[in-house]
Amino acid sequence: MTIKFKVVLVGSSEQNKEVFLLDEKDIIQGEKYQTNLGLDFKLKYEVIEEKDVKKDINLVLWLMKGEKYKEIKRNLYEGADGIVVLFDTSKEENVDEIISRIRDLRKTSPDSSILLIGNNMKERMNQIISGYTRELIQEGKIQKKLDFNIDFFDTTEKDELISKEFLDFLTRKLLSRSDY
Amino acid sequence: MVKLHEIYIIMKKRGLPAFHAQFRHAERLHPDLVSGLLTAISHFAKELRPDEKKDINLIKREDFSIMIEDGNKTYGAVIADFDDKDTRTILKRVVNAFEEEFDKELDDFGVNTIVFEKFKDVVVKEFGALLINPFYFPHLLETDQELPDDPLLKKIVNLIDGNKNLNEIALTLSISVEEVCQNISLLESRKFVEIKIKIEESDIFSPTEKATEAFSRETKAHKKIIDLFGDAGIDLLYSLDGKKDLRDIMAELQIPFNKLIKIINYFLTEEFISWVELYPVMRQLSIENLVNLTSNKEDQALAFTLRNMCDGTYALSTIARKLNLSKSEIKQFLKVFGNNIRWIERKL
Repeated sequence: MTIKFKVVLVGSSEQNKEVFLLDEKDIIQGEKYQTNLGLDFKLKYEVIEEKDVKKDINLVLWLMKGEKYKEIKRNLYEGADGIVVLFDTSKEENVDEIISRIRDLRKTSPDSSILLIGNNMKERMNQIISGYTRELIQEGKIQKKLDFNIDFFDTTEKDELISKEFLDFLTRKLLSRSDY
Repeated sequence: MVKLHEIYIIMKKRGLPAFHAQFRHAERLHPDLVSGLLTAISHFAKELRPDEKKDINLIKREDFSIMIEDGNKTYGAVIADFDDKDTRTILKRVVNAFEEEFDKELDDFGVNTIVFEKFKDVVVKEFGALLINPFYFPHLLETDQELPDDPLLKKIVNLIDGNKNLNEIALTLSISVEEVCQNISLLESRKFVEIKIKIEESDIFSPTEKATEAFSRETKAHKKIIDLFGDAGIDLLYSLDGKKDLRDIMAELQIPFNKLIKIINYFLTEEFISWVELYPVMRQLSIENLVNLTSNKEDQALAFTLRNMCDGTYALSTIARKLNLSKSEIKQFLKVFGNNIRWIERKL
């Protein structure tokens, strides 16, 4: 069986969302379909075997680029099975901004699984979460401010090549919520 | 005849294709990406005019059109070579049928494409009349599969002998040709039949709008014809005027039949020409007149039969098949009636 999930990647304009996907050779790049709407598509195929049933998983990744057309982008979150929120681990002051963004996403897309992931923009790569953000996550400071659950993908002590691990985590998370 | 490329049924909220099928002239675009892009464009349009309730219903380029028909939870999109009213009507019907059948599944978390795959039969059947030329000949294929339990389908299959085209099958069963095309389309997708083109010396063709391109010297289409068939290709295209049959043209251009068939097949594939079916109409002549115009009893019998059949509802090919004569023989015979015969031309 083939199961498709729509996953939207959002972050601030300067964040390089593709960093997460660069080391994945089997990702179909969608640049030729890229529009000036500030949106790009990528596809990731994965095969997962559960209880002797082989499942072909297609993640359709929608990458929101830049800050233009915010209202349109809000519409595009709608119906997403998963939303990955990237935050810049090099900036300690953006926590309130993240929380406000997550609240907004939950309102637009109440059924989506939301996943928070750190991304160090200074180094242009996914990096070990800084002490400050680790503290925020591990002590649940972000979660405490929200009245709903979100997931954290902990990049602590991982090098920059995390995309396979990240996508596997995401796939299993989404699959666990589906009826298939 | 509109050339259909692909159909998408896209989930409005997700922007993912719940169903996608390629027709004969498919593009190699990834359905997930195309669906996302169409959804993004639709949202963009809504944002440009937030007060406007209307949705995008057409994306058009010179060489193709994307027709969009809206449903409640989904919208349907067909990529074709031009915007076509009949295609839209069918697409709307298909979208409604899809939503009715999969109302619950469309709300599931994740999209299990296998659930929606069974809808292919509905799509193939609904678009059948636009996919198959009624002048084509179905041939049965060997298969171990059981024929679906449908009385009409069985009646159609019983008439498939490789000699009757779809139009003739429809007339034999007294049903619409669209209905036959729909069922044959389903049989073709299930590999029960294959569709073949059969060209006869008595066939008549006329150029389509697309042929205009091939007539102009500087175009790619013109150069391609010259490369493939030399000047004979262009000469033939000019000769296909919707009046002369291939026998006349062969005599005029001195092209061997085999070569002519090759060129005609190419023109049909490229849609530079289409078949013209002739429907003879005979004035209701008195018995005395009929007898006077014919020379022997055999011809008189044929004349009486033809008087009953030439009422504009039977195609020349059907009359020829029913009387076990060639189309040329019928045409030749009808010449003796002079102005009492009129020919209605219908392009197929």
